[in-house]
Amino acid sequence: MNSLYIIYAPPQAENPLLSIVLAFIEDQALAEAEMHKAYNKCFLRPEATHISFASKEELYQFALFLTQEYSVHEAILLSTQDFNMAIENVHNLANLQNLFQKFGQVISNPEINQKKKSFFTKMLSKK
Amino acid sequence: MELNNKTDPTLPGENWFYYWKTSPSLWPQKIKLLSEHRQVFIPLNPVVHFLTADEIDVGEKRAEANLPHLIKLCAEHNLEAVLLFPVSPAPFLTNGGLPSFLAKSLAISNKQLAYAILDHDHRLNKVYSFYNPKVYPYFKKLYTELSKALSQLTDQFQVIGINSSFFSEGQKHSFWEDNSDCAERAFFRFLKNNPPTDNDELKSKKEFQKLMQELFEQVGQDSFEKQWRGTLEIIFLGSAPENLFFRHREEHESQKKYFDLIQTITDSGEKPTCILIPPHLKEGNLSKFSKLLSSFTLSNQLLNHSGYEDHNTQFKNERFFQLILQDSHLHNPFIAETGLLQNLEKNYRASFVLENDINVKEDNEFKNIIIFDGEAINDISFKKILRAFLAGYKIIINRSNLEKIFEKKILQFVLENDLSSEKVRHHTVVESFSLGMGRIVLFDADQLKENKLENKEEFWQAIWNYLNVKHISVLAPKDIFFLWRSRYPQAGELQFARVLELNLFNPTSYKKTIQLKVPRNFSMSKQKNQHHAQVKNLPSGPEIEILPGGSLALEFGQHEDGESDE
Repeated sequence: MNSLYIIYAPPQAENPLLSIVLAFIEDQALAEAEMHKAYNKCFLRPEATHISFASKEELYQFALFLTQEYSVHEAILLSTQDFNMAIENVHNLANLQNLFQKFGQVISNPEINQKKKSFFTKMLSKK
Repeated sequence: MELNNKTDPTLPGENWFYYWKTSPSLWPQKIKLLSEHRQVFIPLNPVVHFLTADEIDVGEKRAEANLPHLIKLCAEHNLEAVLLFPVSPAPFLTNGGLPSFLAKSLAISNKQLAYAILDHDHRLNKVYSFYNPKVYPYFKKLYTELSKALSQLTDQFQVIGINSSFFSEGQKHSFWEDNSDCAERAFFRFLKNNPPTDNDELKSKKEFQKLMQELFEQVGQDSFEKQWRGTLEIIFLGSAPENLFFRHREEHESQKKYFDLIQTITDSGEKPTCILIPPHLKEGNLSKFSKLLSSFTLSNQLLNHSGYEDHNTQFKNERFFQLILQDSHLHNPFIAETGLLQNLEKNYRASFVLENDINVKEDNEFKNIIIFDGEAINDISFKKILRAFLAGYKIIINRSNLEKIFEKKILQFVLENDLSSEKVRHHTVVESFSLGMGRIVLFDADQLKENKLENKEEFWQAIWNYLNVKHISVLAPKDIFFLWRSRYPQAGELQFARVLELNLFNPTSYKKTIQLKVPRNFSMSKQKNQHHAQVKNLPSGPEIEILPGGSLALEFGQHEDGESDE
């Protein structure tokens, strides 16, 4: 299953907005310019210079949009705070691989998942 | 994760030896493996030497902490021990080099991510904050003890300070960058005593980080006064905080990624190391490439100090163009928007370096081209420019952001010395002054930026022709990597003024063809280190075919300027 991983920084005293630190699929980081394009398209904010979000809901909406743009099954979001807390207790790589699954927020791409469902339905109906 | 069988935890490469990762009874065996080299680099690991907060051991109690014994062992194997003294958090050490009683708060990068770094063995090193006020006094105590323990061996080792950095989004970042609460509190205390004059908190933070680094450096200098050989800033490949997410799966690691990074980092004038890269990835080409580079870093640091014979007849890394910029990174608008970077990458890739300051040797017979962005010129660099010009260097200056005072000073210098000058318009106004071999060319980058790309290309080509630039052009696909080295001729090569070595590597899975344009003042003299590669001599110049994983080195003799030209 293809996943998009997003690491975001929660609001801070000097920056009250949420921002994306890193987004990647497999071993490819999403380029800043590509994400900007997607951001403008998602929120219709052509004048925006920074990718930032007023709330978690807005971030989740963008994550969902990205799953559709990149045709991946899901986006898994993890805050830097959660990552930093989790990494303190990680001692081996197996744990690190589970970190996103354990602490992340999963946003599924209904388009792909529905397509998959209808395919199986078709198969079953053939039988 | 299955670790590669060939991984040796004690030997991460580049002649480094992690003494704490093996039993002291195996030290002789491991040291023997390095005996084909001249030096062994031994990073100091404070974690090994603190038994408790109050008890330091440099070999009196436990064999694994016995550094004097290790240094003696190196001498027995005719190896010079070079101790690497961390003057910053170290990504290759557990806790960044802090014993557990000092590792209290994780260091946090500017991206708000904790520093968690995989080493060559794919083990996780978490970096803890060095801004904990207890760290400095404990370090001072440890190194004072260590210098006492090594006082009988003063002529058997040397010490180099290592300031660790990582490379992220095209720029170097120091491991002193730390946004943890601990670091913020320390910075707050610093600001209280040193209020910023211009309200620029970011600038103050940089100053604070520099001050911290200097404090640790001072400990090294004071403890190892005679053996201290200065500090080297090294970029550890694979240590950027975001790298963890790609590196933790072995299938996501690739040689080509590291070749790319090494080329970008060295073009930016920085020094990379592959110490954190797993050995199986370094095998073959990457290993050769990084070996050539590491000789350029640590060994060169030692060569700059007295006590070493003249190494002029040994190859040293060479860059024919020095680009001096205030912000020396590849996105700098001066080089990116004037077509200069595109021109150099097309014709002279791997032949230029970005720097912050002019660095010339006046007695050097070969004068490389120096290109200055006007804003990088200050009183000190201006004096160096004039000295370089008098010594015969060719210097190109962007006058569009040059302070008026320096432009006036140049014109005054021209009038006072009655220098010949020329002024032409070629896509922008170009003014040139000459004295003997020396040239100063002034041009307006802002005007040049307005031109089409082909005009910019034409402009730089005209400048190279005017300055009589005669270098070998390597027309190679982007995924072929290479580097230049040079040396003075040896006894049998006196027909040449210097010898250049071109090292080519193909990390891809495809056969690649490279063409060379060799000006007449060069003659190919040797092919060596040939591995899955062949050279064809065509009327248009040498053509090289390199198979996947192949590599090749070519030597060229360079005749005196004009000797065999025309």
